[in-house]
Amino acid sequence: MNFIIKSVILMGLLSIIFGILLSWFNKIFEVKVDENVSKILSLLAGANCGACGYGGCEALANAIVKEGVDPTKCKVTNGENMTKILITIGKNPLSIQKLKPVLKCVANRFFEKKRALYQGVEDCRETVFAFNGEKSCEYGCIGLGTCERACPFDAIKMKDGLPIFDYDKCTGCGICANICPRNVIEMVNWNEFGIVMCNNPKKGIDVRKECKRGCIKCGICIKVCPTNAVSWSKNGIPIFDMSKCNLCNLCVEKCPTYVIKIQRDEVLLLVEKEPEELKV
Amino acid sequence: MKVLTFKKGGVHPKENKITKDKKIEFFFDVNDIIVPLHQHTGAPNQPLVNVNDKVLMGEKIGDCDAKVSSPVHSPISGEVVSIENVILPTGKFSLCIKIKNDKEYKLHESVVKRENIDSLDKTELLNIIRESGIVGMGGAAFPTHIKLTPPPNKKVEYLIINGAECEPFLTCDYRLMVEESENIVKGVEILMKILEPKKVIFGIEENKKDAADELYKIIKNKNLSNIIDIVILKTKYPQGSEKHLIKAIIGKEVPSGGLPFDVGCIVQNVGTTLAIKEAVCDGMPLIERVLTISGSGVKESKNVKVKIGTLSRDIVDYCGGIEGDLRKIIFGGPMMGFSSYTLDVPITKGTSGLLLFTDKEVKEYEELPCIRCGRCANSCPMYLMPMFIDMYSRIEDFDKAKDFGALDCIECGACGYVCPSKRYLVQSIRYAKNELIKRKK
Repeated sequence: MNFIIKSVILMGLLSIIFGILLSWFNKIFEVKVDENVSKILSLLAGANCGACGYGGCEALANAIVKEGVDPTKCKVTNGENMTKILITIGKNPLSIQKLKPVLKCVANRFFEKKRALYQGVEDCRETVFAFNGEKSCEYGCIGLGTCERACPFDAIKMKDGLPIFDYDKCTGCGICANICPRNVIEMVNWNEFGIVMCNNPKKGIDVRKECKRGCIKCGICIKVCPTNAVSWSKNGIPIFDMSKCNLCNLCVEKCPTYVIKIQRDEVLLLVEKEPEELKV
Repeated sequence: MKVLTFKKGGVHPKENKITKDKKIEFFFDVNDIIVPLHQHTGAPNQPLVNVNDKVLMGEKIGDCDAKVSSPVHSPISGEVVSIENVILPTGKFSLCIKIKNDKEYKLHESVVKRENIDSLDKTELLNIIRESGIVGMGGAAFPTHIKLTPPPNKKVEYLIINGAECEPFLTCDYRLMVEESENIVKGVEILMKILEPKKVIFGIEENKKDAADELYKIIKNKNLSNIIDIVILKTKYPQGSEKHLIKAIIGKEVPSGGLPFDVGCIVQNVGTTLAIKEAVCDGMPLIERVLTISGSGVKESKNVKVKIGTLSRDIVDYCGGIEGDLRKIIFGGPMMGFSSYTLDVPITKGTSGLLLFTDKEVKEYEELPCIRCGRCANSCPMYLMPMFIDMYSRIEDFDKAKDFGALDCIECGACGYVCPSKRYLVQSIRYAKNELIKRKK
């Protein structure tokens, strides 16, 4: 029994000594962690997607606190958490504006016009080596699904040759808009936007040659608008001033090629018909 | 005679040199000509003329101050109709000058025959070559005057004249060697004056022995046979690639990322040599080139000499028009050429062929997964492993692709040719290369 008592006393003494040493070292070598950094890190999305330009969420949290970087660089964090982050660093949370991607093209496989047959790697960015792909339109969606593969949140699915965005999964990070070689994906305000879903700045007759749908620059949306919310942009495609729009739905219905899409909060104005019904 | 070649890799596609015995025909009678301003590797040219200006044959219409550049000249006399963006055989857009042909073919005053060539010195000759807008006629269209000015610390021992023409279907270089052999040798003499090499070697493939005989006769008549040599090469693709030609003839390997200067060589195409002779002796800038029109999609296959900027549609009409159900249009050779969807494309200085293929030649395959057979690595003449570069390119790990030597790829297409899964190997390697070059900048 003697050796048991001896070892218990020895171990007990050792643990007391090490305990004291540890607590002492802990004081000496303490690394001070900014409370804000850990708080912000817990509020950030934690996807480590890198869309902000920093090497993960921790790097961004450090940059927010130490370098005063704008926290809205993170497009993934939801509104509630972002408000908390903004309050933590003492900024006005009302200033944030969340964005979502919208495709500025309607030429799916029913409406596109082809000039050739593309054989090669299924990637939109590779078509620059092959006469810019098979569709006649040089401005619209190429439809080989680079954005689908690039999306870190699995929010894009290709359907009939066009990407369909799943806004439940979408976080508005903007990776798809950056990777698109045609710049056909536009980031718009999450709750309120009006857009012409065509990217072709050519004249109507030339657009018709290249696509069965697409904005033909007839200007009827500008003529019918009772509140002058629609106007010509620099490249000849109508743009919408959503502060003036009263959601009358006139332009959306009058548009001969049905390419206008307007949304404010829960109201979505868009004519969606089967390809046979459109007769274009 | 011993037949030389490079050691490993390479393929031997069916030669299909249908136009081998057809003499070069001249086709200059066109209404409009579209001269692209950016036909060479390097900085694009700026137009020197305006719309409605009258231009004469051989007049300089585009130039630029950048070091790596080459001017363009008007191939005909006439009036400038418009200056607009047109798609080129390479699939890229370039500013083009459209000229309406007045069919008088009046020469510009700068085009003068030079009687006394021997009195010209090195810098004068190089200046003539630059001002004549001469670029490599093999396909890459690299400005020749830059290629002919090696860095001062490097000595040029060998001048190699590339007459390999390893691409199937193309016969324009062969026809030039047979018909214009005397002028080619004259061009070589001018090159010898500029470079002062120890030895000049013609590299000609085995299936073009009569061209070699023709050249040998002239060399012997001129008593140059102690300097100029003719070497017969094995018929194999890509024998005409600069690096493989050097490997086959000299036995030295151009280092990775290096230039032929590094092993004391300069390689020139026979077409370029001829263009140099025309520029120096006749004062004529590079405004014409010979190209092969072939394939089962055209009524009559021909070797045609055309003005640079002639629309391909006009050339096809001259050859009897399209026959059958056209499936593929290729500018250049079938292995390395560019596939196009339209014939409304002007011919540039680097277009060596126009191939129209129907179902006879074109077979469509579905791309299947890689089965790791390793045939691409066996066929690669650059000792690369295309399957790995392809894999890393597709998952966008370009650093890894670089480690596997993506930048050494010469895009010859041998790997894609032998692949049993018909994978788009060259396309994805080219994508990785492009991304890596973009990053360097």
